[in-house]
Amino acid sequence: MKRVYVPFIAIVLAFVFAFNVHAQTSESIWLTASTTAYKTGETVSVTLNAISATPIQGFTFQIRYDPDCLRPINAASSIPGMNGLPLPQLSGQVDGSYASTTPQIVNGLLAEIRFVTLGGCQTDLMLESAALAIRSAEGFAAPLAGVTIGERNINLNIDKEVAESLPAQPLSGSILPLDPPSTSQGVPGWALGLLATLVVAGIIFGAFKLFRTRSGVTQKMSPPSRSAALHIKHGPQAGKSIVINKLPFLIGRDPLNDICLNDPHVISQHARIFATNNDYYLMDLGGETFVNGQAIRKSPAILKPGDVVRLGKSALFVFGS
Amino acid sequence: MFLLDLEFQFVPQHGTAHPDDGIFTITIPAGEYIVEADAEGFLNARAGTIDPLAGTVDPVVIIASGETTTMETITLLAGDIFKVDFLLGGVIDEWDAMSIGINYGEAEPPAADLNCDGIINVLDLELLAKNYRKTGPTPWYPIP
Repeated sequence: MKRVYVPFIAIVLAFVFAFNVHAQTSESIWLTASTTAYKTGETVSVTLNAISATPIQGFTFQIRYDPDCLRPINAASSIPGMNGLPLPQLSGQVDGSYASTTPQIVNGLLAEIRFVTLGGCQTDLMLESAALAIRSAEGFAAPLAGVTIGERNINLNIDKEVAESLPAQPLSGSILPLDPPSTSQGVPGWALGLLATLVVAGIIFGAFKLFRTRSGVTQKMSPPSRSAALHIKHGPQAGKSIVINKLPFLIGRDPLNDICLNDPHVISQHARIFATNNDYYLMDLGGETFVNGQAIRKSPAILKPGDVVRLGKSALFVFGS
Repeated sequence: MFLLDLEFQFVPQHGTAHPDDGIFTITIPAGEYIVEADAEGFLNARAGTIDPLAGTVDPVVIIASGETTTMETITLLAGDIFKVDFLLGGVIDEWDAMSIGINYGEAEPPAADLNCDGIINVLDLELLAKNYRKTGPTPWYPIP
Protein backbone atom coordinates (compact mmCIF):
# COMPACT_ATOMS: atom_id res chain seq x y z
CA MET A 1 0.00 0.00 0.00
CA LYS A 2 2.83 2.42 0.85
CA ARG A 3 4.22 2.15 -2.68
CA VAL A 4 0.86 3.28 -4.03
CA TYR A 5 0.85 6.45 -1.90
CA VAL A 6 4.43 7.59 -2.62
CA PRO A 7 3.92 8.68 -6.26
CA PHE A 8 0.59 10.22 -5.34
CA ILE A 9 2.13 12.30 -2.54
CA ALA A 10 4.99 13.29 -4.84
CA ILE A 11 2.55 14.52 -7.47
CA VAL A 12 0.56 16.47 -4.89
CA LEU A 13 3.75 18.08 -3.51
CA ALA A 14 4.94 18.99 -7.01
CA PHE A 15 1.57 20.53 -7.80
CA VAL A 16 1.54 22.57 -4.59
CA PHE A 17 5.11 23.76 -5.16
CA ALA A 18 4.45 24.75 -8.76
CA PHE A 19 1.41 26.85 -7.93
CA ASN A 20 2.80 28.49 -4.80
CA VAL A 21 6.23 29.48 -5.98
CA HIS A 22 5.70 33.09 -4.84
CA ALA A 23 4.00 32.44 -1.55
CA GLN A 24 7.15 31.81 0.38
CA THR A 25 5.64 31.41 3.83
CA SER A 26 2.25 31.36 5.43
CA GLU A 27 2.46 35.11 6.09
CA SER A 28 4.46 36.98 3.52
CA ILE A 29 4.51 39.95 1.16
CA TRP A 30 6.14 40.07 -2.25
CA LEU A 31 6.35 42.19 -5.37
CA THR A 32 5.64 40.99 -8.91
CA ALA A 33 5.44 42.39 -12.42
CA SER A 34 3.93 40.69 -15.43
CA THR A 35 6.14 42.62 -17.85
CA THR A 36 9.59 44.09 -17.35
CA ALA A 37 10.28 45.53 -20.83
CA TYR A 38 8.71 48.89 -21.65
CA LYS A 39 9.01 51.79 -24.04
CA THR A 40 9.27 55.43 -23.00
CA GLY A 41 5.90 56.83 -21.98
CA GLU A 42 4.35 53.49 -21.18
CA THR A 43 2.65 52.62 -17.91
CA VAL A 44 4.52 50.19 -15.67
CA SER A 45 2.30 48.13 -13.45
CA VAL A 46 3.62 46.13 -10.52
CA THR A 47 1.62 44.30 -7.92
CA LEU A 48 2.12 43.93 -4.21
CA ASN A 49 0.88 40.56 -3.00
CA ALA A 50 0.43 39.01 0.40
CA ILE A 51 -0.87 35.96 2.08
CA SER A 52 -1.93 35.93 5.69
CA ALA A 53 -3.91 33.54 7.80
CA THR A 54 -4.56 36.38 10.24
CA PRO A 55 -7.18 38.92 9.15
CA ILE A 56 -5.57 42.31 8.61
CA GLN A 57 -6.87 45.87 8.83
CA GLY A 58 -4.22 47.56 6.80
CA PHE A 59 -0.93 47.34 5.00
CA THR A 60 1.93 49.65 4.18
CA PHE A 61 4.75 49.54 1.66
CA GLN A 62 7.67 51.65 0.51
CA ILE A 63 9.02 51.09 -3.00
CA ARG A 64 12.30 52.72 -4.06
CA TYR A 65 12.49 53.92 -7.69
CA ASP A 66 14.78 56.04 -9.84
CA PRO A 67 13.02 59.39 -10.44
CA ASP A 68 15.06 59.89 -13.62
CA CYS A 69 13.49 56.76 -15.11
CA LEU A 70 10.04 56.52 -13.55
CA ARG A 71 7.33 58.71 -12.17
CA PRO A 72 4.71 57.14 -9.90
CA ILE A 73 1.10 57.72 -10.88
CA ASN A 74 -1.13 55.91 -8.41
CA ALA A 75 -1.82 52.74 -6.53
CA ALA A 76 -5.07 50.86 -6.07
CA SER A 77 -6.25 48.13 -3.78
CA SER A 78 -9.20 46.02 -4.85
CA ILE A 79 -9.67 44.59 -1.36
CA PRO A 80 -13.17 45.67 -0.32
CA GLY A 81 -13.11 48.44 2.29
CA MET A 82 -9.33 48.85 2.12
CA ASN A 83 -8.88 52.60 1.62
CA GLY A 84 -5.75 54.42 0.51
CA LEU A 85 -4.46 57.08 2.90
CA PRO A 86 -3.31 60.20 1.03
CA LEU A 87 0.05 61.07 2.56
CA PRO A 88 2.87 63.27 1.25
CA GLN A 89 5.28 61.46 -1.06
CA LEU A 90 9.05 61.73 -1.35
CA SER A 91 10.97 61.79 -4.59
CA GLY A 92 12.38 58.35 -5.31
CA GLN A 93 10.09 56.49 -2.92
CA VAL A 94 6.48 55.41 -3.21
CA ASP A 95 4.97 55.46 0.28
CA GLY A 96 1.63 53.67 0.32
CA SER A 97 -0.65 52.95 3.26
CA TYR A 98 -4.10 51.40 3.26
CA ALA A 99 -6.53 50.78 6.09
CA SER A 100 -9.87 49.13 6.65
CA THR A 101 -12.30 49.41 9.52
CA THR A 102 -12.97 45.67 9.36
CA PRO A 103 -10.50 42.77 9.46
CA GLN A 104 -9.89 41.10 6.09
CA ILE A 105 -8.28 37.85 5.04
CA VAL A 106 -5.79 38.45 2.24
CA ASN A 107 -4.54 35.86 -0.16
CA GLY A 108 -3.01 37.35 -3.28
CA LEU A 109 -3.21 40.87 -4.65
CA LEU A 110 -2.86 43.68 -2.10
CA ALA A 111 -2.33 46.61 -4.43
CA GLU A 112 -1.41 47.52 -7.97
CA ILE A 113 1.16 50.33 -8.25
CA ARG A 114 1.59 52.26 -11.49
CA PHE A 115 4.45 54.31 -12.86
CA VAL A 116 5.07 56.01 -16.19
CA THR A 117 8.41 55.51 -17.90
CA LEU A 118 10.39 58.71 -18.55
CA GLY A 119 13.18 57.58 -20.89
CA GLY A 120 15.62 54.87 -21.85
CA CYS A 121 16.78 53.21 -18.62
CA GLN A 122 17.86 50.00 -16.99
CA THR A 123 16.41 50.41 -13.54
CA ASP A 124 15.12 48.58 -10.49
CA LEU A 125 12.03 48.81 -8.39
CA MET A 126 12.83 47.73 -4.86
CA LEU A 127 10.33 46.90 -2.15
CA GLU A 128 12.21 48.61 0.63
CA SER A 129 9.77 47.70 3.38
CA ALA A 130 6.27 46.37 3.76
CA ALA A 131 4.05 45.27 6.61
CA LEU A 132 0.57 44.03 7.38
CA ALA A 133 -1.40 45.82 10.08
CA ILE A 134 -3.74 44.56 12.75
CA ARG A 135 -5.59 46.41 15.47
CA SER A 136 -3.88 46.40 18.84
CA ALA A 137 -5.82 45.97 22.07
CA GLU A 138 -5.65 49.76 22.54
CA GLY A 139 -7.16 50.35 19.11
CA PHE A 140 -3.98 51.40 17.29
CA ALA A 141 -2.59 50.00 14.05
CA ALA A 142 0.20 47.60 14.88
CA PRO A 143 2.41 45.42 12.69
CA LEU A 144 1.48 41.79 12.31
CA ALA A 145 4.43 39.80 13.60
CA GLY A 146 6.15 37.07 11.64
CA VAL A 147 5.51 38.44 8.15
CA THR A 148 8.39 37.82 5.78
CA ILE A 149 9.16 39.81 2.65
CA GLY A 150 9.70 37.61 -0.38
CA GLU A 151 10.62 38.84 -3.84
CA ARG A 152 11.44 42.52 -3.46
CA ASN A 153 13.32 43.53 -6.62
CA ILE A 154 12.04 44.03 -10.16
CA ASN A 155 14.47 44.86 -12.94
CA LEU A 156 12.98 47.02 -15.67
CA ASN A 157 14.30 47.59 -19.17
CA ILE A 158 12.92 50.81 -20.60
CA ASP A 159 13.57 51.47 -24.26
CA LYS A 160 14.14 55.07 -25.32
CA GLU A 161 11.73 54.55 -28.20
CA VAL A 162 8.54 56.42 -27.41
CA ALA A 163 5.47 54.24 -27.25
CA GLU A 164 2.35 54.94 -29.24
CA SER A 165 -0.30 56.29 -26.94
CA LEU A 166 -2.49 53.53 -25.66
CA PRO A 167 -5.60 53.91 -23.56
CA ALA A 168 -4.74 53.27 -19.90
CA GLN A 169 -6.33 50.20 -18.37
CA PRO A 170 -8.81 51.20 -15.68
CA LEU A 171 -7.88 50.54 -12.07
CA SER A 172 -10.25 48.81 -9.75
CA GLY A 173 -10.64 49.48 -6.05
CA SER A 174 -9.48 52.30 -3.80
CA ILE A 175 -7.13 54.52 -5.79
CA LEU A 176 -4.33 56.29 -3.97
CA PRO A 177 -2.61 59.19 -5.79
CA LEU A 178 1.17 59.01 -5.58
CA ASP A 179 2.16 62.43 -6.83
CA PRO A 180 5.83 62.91 -6.13
CA PRO A 181 7.12 66.35 -5.07
CA SER A 182 7.16 68.79 -7.98
CA THR A 183 10.95 69.06 -7.96
CA SER A 184 11.22 65.42 -8.95
CA GLN A 185 9.34 65.90 -12.19
CA GLY A 186 12.32 67.20 -14.10
CA VAL A 187 11.21 70.84 -14.29
CA PRO A 188 13.78 73.09 -12.66
CA GLY A 189 12.63 75.66 -10.15
CA TRP A 190 13.84 78.60 -12.24
CA ALA A 191 11.70 77.40 -15.16
CA LEU A 192 8.63 77.29 -12.94
CA GLY A 193 9.46 80.78 -11.66
CA LEU A 194 9.87 82.09 -15.21
CA LEU A 195 6.60 80.47 -16.26
CA ALA A 196 4.79 82.01 -13.29
CA THR A 197 6.27 85.44 -14.10
CA LEU A 198 5.16 85.16 -17.73
CA VAL A 199 1.66 84.12 -16.69
CA VAL A 200 1.37 87.04 -14.25
CA ALA A 201 2.75 89.45 -16.87
CA GLY A 202 0.30 88.08 -19.42
CA ILE A 203 -2.62 88.56 -17.05
CA ILE A 204 -1.55 92.13 -16.27
CA PHE A 205 -1.04 92.91 -19.95
CA GLY A 206 -4.41 91.37 -20.84
CA ALA A 207 -6.15 93.31 -18.09
CA PHE A 208 -4.46 96.49 -19.27
CA LYS A 209 -5.55 95.88 -22.86
CA LEU A 210 -9.08 95.19 -21.71
CA PHE A 211 -9.07 98.33 -19.60
CA ARG A 212 -7.87 100.40 -22.56
CA THR A 213 -10.54 98.94 -24.82
CA ARG A 214 -13.32 99.60 -22.35
CA SER A 215 -12.22 103.11 -21.58
CA GLY A 216 -12.18 103.93 -25.26
CA VAL A 217 -9.05 106.02 -24.89
CA THR A 218 -5.55 105.04 -25.77
CA GLN A 219 -3.38 105.85 -22.77
CA LYS A 220 0.10 106.47 -24.01
CA MET A 221 2.24 107.05 -20.97
CA SER A 222 4.74 109.30 -22.66
CA PRO A 223 4.44 112.69 -20.97
CA PRO A 224 3.26 115.68 -22.96
CA SER A 225 5.87 118.25 -23.86
CA ARG A 226 4.56 120.63 -21.18
CA SER A 227 4.91 119.79 -17.50
CA ALA A 228 1.93 119.90 -15.15
CA ALA A 229 1.14 120.20 -11.47
CA LEU A 230 -1.73 120.07 -9.07
CA HIS A 231 -2.09 123.08 -6.78
CA ILE A 232 -3.80 122.13 -3.54
CA LYS A 233 -6.53 124.62 -2.61
CA HIS A 234 -8.12 123.06 0.42
CA GLY A 235 -7.07 121.20 3.55
CA PRO A 236 -3.92 121.11 5.66
CA GLN A 237 -1.64 121.15 2.59
CA ALA A 238 -3.39 124.07 0.91
CA GLY A 239 -0.98 126.20 -1.08
CA LYS A 240 1.31 123.35 -1.89
CA SER A 241 1.94 122.28 -5.50
CA ILE A 242 2.62 118.74 -6.54
CA VAL A 243 4.39 118.22 -9.84
CA ILE A 244 3.04 115.39 -11.97
CA ASN A 245 6.39 113.79 -12.52
CA LYS A 246 5.25 110.31 -13.52
CA LEU A 247 2.45 108.78 -15.45
CA PRO A 248 0.03 107.40 -14.71
CA PHE A 249 -0.33 109.55 -11.61
CA LEU A 250 -2.50 108.01 -8.91
CA ILE A 251 -4.50 109.86 -6.28
CA GLY A 252 -6.26 108.21 -3.34
CA ARG A 253 -6.22 107.41 0.35
CA ASP A 254 -3.83 104.47 0.04
CA PRO A 255 -0.22 105.46 0.92
CA LEU A 256 0.97 103.82 -2.29
CA ASN A 257 -0.65 106.54 -4.37
CA ASP A 258 1.38 109.43 -5.78
CA ILE A 259 -0.83 111.76 -3.78
CA CYS A 260 -2.13 110.27 -0.56
CA LEU A 261 -5.22 112.03 0.83
CA ASN A 262 -6.27 111.29 4.37
CA ASP A 263 -9.90 112.10 3.69
CA PRO A 264 -12.81 109.78 4.60
CA HIS A 265 -14.57 110.73 1.36
CA VAL A 266 -11.62 109.67 -0.77
CA ILE A 267 -11.31 105.98 -1.55
CA SER A 268 -8.06 104.05 -1.58
CA GLN A 269 -7.50 104.48 -5.33
CA HIS A 270 -9.72 107.37 -6.24
CA ALA A 271 -8.49 108.79 -9.54
CA ARG A 272 -5.66 108.67 -12.00
CA ILE A 273 -4.09 111.12 -14.37
CA PHE A 274 -2.65 109.90 -17.62
CA ALA A 275 -1.49 111.48 -20.84
CA THR A 276 -2.22 110.88 -24.48
CA ASN A 277 -1.72 112.94 -27.64
CA ASN A 278 0.08 115.62 -25.66
CA ASP A 279 -2.90 116.09 -23.33
CA TYR A 280 -3.53 115.16 -19.71
CA TYR A 281 -6.67 113.26 -18.71
CA LEU A 282 -8.30 112.56 -15.38
CA MET A 283 -10.11 109.27 -14.82
CA ASP A 284 -12.37 108.42 -11.91
CA LEU A 285 -11.62 104.99 -10.38
CA GLY A 286 -14.77 104.55 -8.37
CA GLY A 287 -15.07 107.53 -6.05
CA GLU A 288 -16.67 110.88 -6.66
CA THR A 289 -14.56 112.98 -8.99
CA PHE A 290 -15.43 116.37 -10.45
CA VAL A 291 -13.81 118.67 -13.00
CA ASN A 292 -15.13 122.23 -12.85
CA GLY A 293 -18.12 120.95 -10.89
CA GLN A 294 -19.01 118.29 -13.45
CA ALA A 295 -18.90 114.70 -12.26
CA ILE A 296 -16.87 112.38 -14.37
CA ARG A 297 -17.89 108.78 -14.46
CA LYS A 298 -16.95 106.33 -17.16
CA SER A 299 -15.16 108.61 -19.56
CA PRO A 300 -11.93 110.35 -18.67
CA ALA A 301 -11.97 114.14 -18.73
CA ILE A 302 -9.30 116.18 -20.43
CA LEU A 303 -7.46 118.53 -18.08
CA LYS A 304 -6.61 122.06 -19.09
CA PRO A 305 -4.73 124.70 -17.10
CA GLY A 306 -7.04 126.28 -14.55
CA ASP A 307 -9.43 123.35 -14.30
CA VAL A 308 -10.67 122.77 -10.76
CA VAL A 309 -10.51 119.17 -9.68
CA ARG A 310 -12.45 117.93 -6.69
CA LEU A 311 -12.23 114.44 -5.18
CA GLY A 312 -14.90 113.37 -2.70
CA LYS A 313 -16.28 116.18 -0.60
CA SER A 314 -13.36 118.46 -0.02
CA ALA A 315 -10.11 117.52 -1.78
CA LEU A 316 -9.61 120.40 -4.18
CA PHE A 317 -6.90 120.99 -6.77
CA VAL A 318 -6.29 123.34 -9.60
CA PHE A 319 -4.62 121.81 -12.57
CA GLY A 320 -1.85 123.92 -13.98
CA SER A 321 1.59 124.05 -15.38
CA MET B 1 -9.34 77.01 17.72
CA PHE B 2 -7.43 73.83 17.38
CA LEU B 3 -5.06 74.65 20.19
CA LEU B 4 -7.82 75.97 22.41
CA ASP B 5 -9.38 72.53 22.28
CA LEU B 6 -6.14 71.07 23.44
CA GLU B 7 -5.87 73.26 26.46
CA PHE B 8 -8.54 71.28 28.21
CA GLN B 9 -6.68 68.07 27.65
CA PHE B 10 -3.76 69.32 29.68
CA VAL B 11 -3.85 68.41 33.30
CA PRO B 12 -0.63 69.54 34.94
CA GLN B 13 0.61 67.12 37.55
CA HIS B 14 1.80 70.01 39.69
CA GLY B 15 0.71 73.59 39.61
CA THR B 16 -2.19 75.39 38.03
CA ALA B 17 -3.48 75.84 34.51
CA HIS B 18 -5.18 78.84 32.97
CA PRO B 19 -7.60 77.36 30.48
CA ASP B 20 -8.29 80.73 28.86
CA ASP B 21 -4.81 81.18 27.50
CA GLY B 22 -3.13 77.79 27.93
CA ILE B 23 -0.53 79.09 30.38
CA PHE B 24 0.54 76.81 33.21
CA THR B 25 2.18 77.98 36.37
CA ILE B 26 4.11 75.38 38.34
CA THR B 27 5.80 76.00 41.67
CA ILE B 28 8.81 73.75 42.17
CA PRO B 29 11.97 73.77 44.27
CA ALA B 30 15.10 75.38 42.87
CA GLY B 31 17.16 73.08 40.70
CA GLU B 32 17.81 71.83 37.19
CA TYR B 33 14.90 70.38 35.29
CA ILE B 34 13.86 68.79 32.05
CA VAL B 35 10.48 70.22 31.08
CA GLU B 36 8.20 68.33 28.75
CA ALA B 37 4.84 69.02 27.14
CA ASP B 38 2.89 66.06 25.87
CA ALA B 39 -0.62 65.31 24.73
CA GLU B 40 -2.33 62.25 23.31
CA GLY B 41 -1.82 62.15 19.54
CA PHE B 42 0.90 64.80 19.48
CA LEU B 43 4.66 64.83 19.28
CA ASN B 44 5.99 65.88 22.63
CA ALA B 45 8.19 68.92 23.21
CA ARG B 46 11.12 68.78 25.57
CA ALA B 47 13.48 71.29 27.14
CA GLY B 48 16.61 69.24 27.72
CA THR B 49 17.76 65.91 26.38
CA ILE B 50 17.35 62.36 27.55
CA ASP B 51 19.27 59.52 25.97
CA PRO B 52 17.79 56.34 27.42
CA LEU B 53 20.25 54.16 25.50
CA ALA B 54 23.30 55.96 26.85
CA GLY B 55 21.61 56.63 30.19
CA THR B 56 22.37 60.36 30.05
CA VAL B 57 20.19 63.29 31.01
CA ASP B 58 20.95 66.91 30.15
CA PRO B 59 18.50 69.38 31.70
CA VAL B 60 18.40 72.90 30.32
CA VAL B 61 15.91 74.58 32.64
CA ILE B 62 17.56 76.03 35.69
CA ILE B 63 15.24 77.32 38.38
CA ALA B 64 16.84 79.65 40.87
CA SER B 65 15.36 80.09 44.32
CA GLY B 66 12.64 82.73 44.38
CA GLU B 67 12.78 83.34 40.64
CA THR B 68 10.41 82.60 37.82
CA THR B 69 11.48 80.96 34.59
CA THR B 70 9.18 81.25 31.59
CA MET B 71 9.23 78.75 28.76
CA GLU B 72 8.68 79.94 25.22
CA THR B 73 5.26 79.21 23.75
CA ILE B 74 5.32 75.83 22.08
CA THR B 75 2.95 74.28 19.55
CA LEU B 76 2.80 70.50 19.64
CA LEU B 77 2.66 68.79 16.24
CA ALA B 78 -0.40 66.65 15.61
CA GLY B 79 -0.13 63.06 14.44
CA ASP B 80 1.94 61.00 16.87
CA ILE B 81 -0.97 58.71 17.70
CA PHE B 82 0.80 55.46 18.37
CA LYS B 83 3.60 56.34 20.80
CA VAL B 84 6.18 53.62 20.93
CA ASP B 85 8.73 55.02 23.34
CA PHE B 86 8.16 58.33 25.03
CA LEU B 87 11.77 58.74 26.12
CA LEU B 88 13.20 58.07 22.68
CA GLY B 89 10.85 60.57 21.10
CA GLY B 90 8.21 59.89 18.54
CA VAL B 91 7.73 59.97 14.81
CA ILE B 92 4.59 60.68 12.82
CA ASP B 93 4.49 57.81 10.39
CA GLU B 94 2.33 55.36 8.45
CA TRP B 95 1.29 53.53 11.63
CA ASP B 96 -0.25 56.72 12.97
CA ALA B 97 -2.04 57.24 9.66
CA MET B 98 -3.33 53.67 9.66
CA SER B 99 -4.54 54.17 13.25
CA ILE B 100 -6.84 56.84 11.85
CA GLY B 101 -7.83 54.61 8.92
CA ILE B 102 -8.80 51.56 10.96
CA ASN B 103 -10.87 53.69 13.37
CA TYR B 104 -12.48 55.85 10.69
CA GLY B 105 -15.88 57.15 11.77
CA GLU B 106 -15.36 56.15 15.40
CA ALA B 107 -14.65 58.25 18.50
CA GLU B 108 -12.02 55.90 19.98
CA PRO B 109 -9.14 55.86 20.59
CA PRO B 110 -9.07 59.54 21.63
CA ALA B 111 -5.45 59.86 20.50
CA ALA B 112 -6.57 59.44 16.88
CA ASP B 113 -9.16 62.21 17.17
CA LEU B 114 -6.55 64.88 16.59
CA ASN B 115 -8.90 67.84 16.29
CA CYS B 116 -10.99 66.70 19.28
CA ASP B 117 -14.29 66.97 17.39
CA GLY B 118 -15.51 63.60 18.63
CA ILE B 119 -15.04 61.68 15.38
CA ILE B 120 -11.99 60.22 13.69
CA ASN B 121 -12.15 61.24 10.04
CA VAL B 122 -10.39 62.87 7.12
CA LEU B 123 -9.88 66.10 9.08
CA ASP B 124 -7.63 64.22 11.48
CA LEU B 125 -5.79 62.64 8.56
CA GLU B 126 -5.22 66.08 7.03
CA LEU B 127 -3.72 67.33 10.27
CA LEU B 128 -1.44 64.31 10.40
CA ALA B 129 -0.41 64.66 6.76
CA LYS B 130 0.91 68.18 7.44
CA ASN B 131 3.39 66.75 9.93
CA TYR B 132 4.04 63.41 8.25
CA ARG B 133 7.58 62.07 8.88
CA LYS B 134 8.36 64.71 11.53
CA THR B 135 10.14 63.44 14.60
CA GLY B 136 10.14 64.41 18.22
CA PRO B 137 10.70 65.58 20.75
CA THR B 138 10.35 69.13 19.48
CA PRO B 139 13.10 71.26 21.03
CA TRP B 140 11.82 73.66 23.64
CA TYR B 141 13.68 76.42 25.43
CA PRO B 142 13.22 78.80 28.33
CA ILE B 143 13.00 82.49 27.46
CA PRO B 144 16.37 84.01 28.39
